[in-house]
Amino acid sequence: MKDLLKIYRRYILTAAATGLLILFFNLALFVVFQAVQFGYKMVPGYEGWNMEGLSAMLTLEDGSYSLSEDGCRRVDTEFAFAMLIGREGQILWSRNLPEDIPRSYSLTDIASMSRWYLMDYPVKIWTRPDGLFVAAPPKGSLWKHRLEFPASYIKAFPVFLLVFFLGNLLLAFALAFLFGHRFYTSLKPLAKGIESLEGKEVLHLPERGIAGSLAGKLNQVSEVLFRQNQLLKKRDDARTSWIAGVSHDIRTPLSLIMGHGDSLSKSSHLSPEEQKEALSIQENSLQIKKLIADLNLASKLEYNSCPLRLKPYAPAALLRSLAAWYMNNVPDSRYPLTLDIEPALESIALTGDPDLLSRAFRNLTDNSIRHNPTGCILHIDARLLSGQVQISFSDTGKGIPVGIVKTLYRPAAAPKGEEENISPPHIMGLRIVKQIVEAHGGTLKFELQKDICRTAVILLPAGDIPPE
Amino acid sequence: MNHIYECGILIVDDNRELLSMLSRILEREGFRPPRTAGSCREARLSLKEALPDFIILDVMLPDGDGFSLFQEIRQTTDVPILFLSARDEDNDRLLGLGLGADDYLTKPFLPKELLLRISAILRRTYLSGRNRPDPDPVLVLDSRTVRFDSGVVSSPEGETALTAKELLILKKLYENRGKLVTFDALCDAVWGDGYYTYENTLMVHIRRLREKIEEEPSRPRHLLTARGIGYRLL
Repeated sequence: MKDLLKIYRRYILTAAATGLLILFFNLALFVVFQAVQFGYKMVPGYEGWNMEGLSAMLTLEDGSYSLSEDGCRRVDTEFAFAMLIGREGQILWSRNLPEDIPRSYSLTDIASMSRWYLMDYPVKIWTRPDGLFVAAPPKGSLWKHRLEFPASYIKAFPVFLLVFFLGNLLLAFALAFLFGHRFYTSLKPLAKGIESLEGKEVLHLPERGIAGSLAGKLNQVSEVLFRQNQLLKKRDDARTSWIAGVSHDIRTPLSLIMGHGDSLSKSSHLSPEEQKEALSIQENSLQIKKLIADLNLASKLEYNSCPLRLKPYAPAALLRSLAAWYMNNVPDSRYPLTLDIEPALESIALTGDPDLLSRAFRNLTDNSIRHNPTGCILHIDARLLSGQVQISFSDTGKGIPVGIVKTLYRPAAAPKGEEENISPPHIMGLRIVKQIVEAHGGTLKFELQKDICRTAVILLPAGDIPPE
Repeated sequence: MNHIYECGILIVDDNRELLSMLSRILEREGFRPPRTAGSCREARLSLKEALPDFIILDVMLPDGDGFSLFQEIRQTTDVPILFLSARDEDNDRLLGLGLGADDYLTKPFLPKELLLRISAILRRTYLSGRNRPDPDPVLVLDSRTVRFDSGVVSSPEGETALTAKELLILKKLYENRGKLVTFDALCDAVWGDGYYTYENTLMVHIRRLREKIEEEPSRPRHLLTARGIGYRLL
């Protein structure tokens, strides 16, 4: 709607600007035309067909008429002839009078020539006390037309002008709206097409109208994108399936290793040292099991083949259950955990996959324990910050080296930095945390202090907070 | 049946080595030597021969899938079945349990975990009438005794009745004795709603409960608070 109004505004402004431009252009042309046509009138001394002046130059002296020298020059140059018709209709004086011009005139002749022509001469007449002074411009030099309107017409003319103007204005607006709407409707599918140009499906925009060729190009682009996406998806699926397949195939042999390790660790034929080694086989097998699960989950999250089981959850309750799980399962006093939840967060409900988020949170607390064998204090802090739920996991341990953080945020194709020689499996746990948080539309940040990070901050959007 | 170790177990898995290993583990634990089957066909033959008391079933078998075999078995018997599979997808687990399986364990597994699960299912199925725990036990806290059936706390000073809510809170804590129970889990057990709504009410109930079960309510020894997380009954 906003776009439509914008288009309408632009069209109307363009129409108004075009109308004004045409008006001024025509006025200018008219002025130029007038100047060209009647420019000679501006020459000093030129009097044109000034009948009053010319008539005044004809004077009666001693019973005969004479035209001044200037008058003669004007008649000779500007007119074909001139004459004075007396009150009885007879010619009292003439100059250059052609043969075919009558020598006497009736009232009807006078009435006719005053309006129209005398023998095709567009004559001009000036009334004098002694008769009519007639001067005839050359044939074809003047176009005469009788202009006569009913009085009612002239009276109504201003109203007509107003209606004419308003009508034109309305028509211009209507056309602007019509063209604007047509333009909008022809662009609308294109805009929608561009919005859905993610390669998920092939576009079939109608290739007609003013944006037809553009729509055609968009259709082509969408087809290329679709094909590329299909190929990418096929590749990702193959990779995920391959990892899933390998992890599946490794499970049964690993079961055997764990089972045999268990049997050996309890065997009375083995020395305590050998039993310990058998137990180590079992413990390491468990580690491999966890790694396989992590690898599988990481690959599924990476290639979006792990659908989130979305449901409403309260982040405060989730963190408390995590803390309770931790305290019930990690009774080691070397790793005390404290939890601080801002009261404002208690009423917040988010939508997400609580199981996956718990997995992410546990990975962070597990990391604190695994990398600090001598012990450390863990602290979880959760608060509401400018529309986001901020959950900080910190510990007093040795922290995460900056290289690991850099590796975590390095795009797969980017070259490794000097301090990033950490093989991916070692950051699998953190990578999974990052992937889970990002799958929830959030971000994972690390607070660095002197190249060591002791605090991981998870920011989750709290956009869907229901009103209290 | 007097003991779960008398149960006859059938293991269905296509890996012969795993079959023999599982057999050894079960025998070592004290179970009768289990029968084994390497395919759906062998499993059907074994079932025709004699019905076992428990079945450990793999999902991927050379001549069919365990889920279909499960449904086939369920048409004739309700014998408890545990899926033991390398398929760890949530969907597989949900499908297996949704079909009515008694448990679903993914490979690789800890032998101890498998044995515990099998024992729990067998006890629940065959010995539940005999070894059922006291539904309304008695909680003894120093000189005080709480009877869950009557909701009365007896002490040298006399008897005090617990309110319905106090009893529910105490029961929840007793079921998880020694473990930390979150405020949310307690509120959910008592009111069926979140902690946010009942934060203050829960605190009041806990205070009153302490006055009834603790000798020194201001210095509790049994009903302990984990700051910001929940309560623990020791």
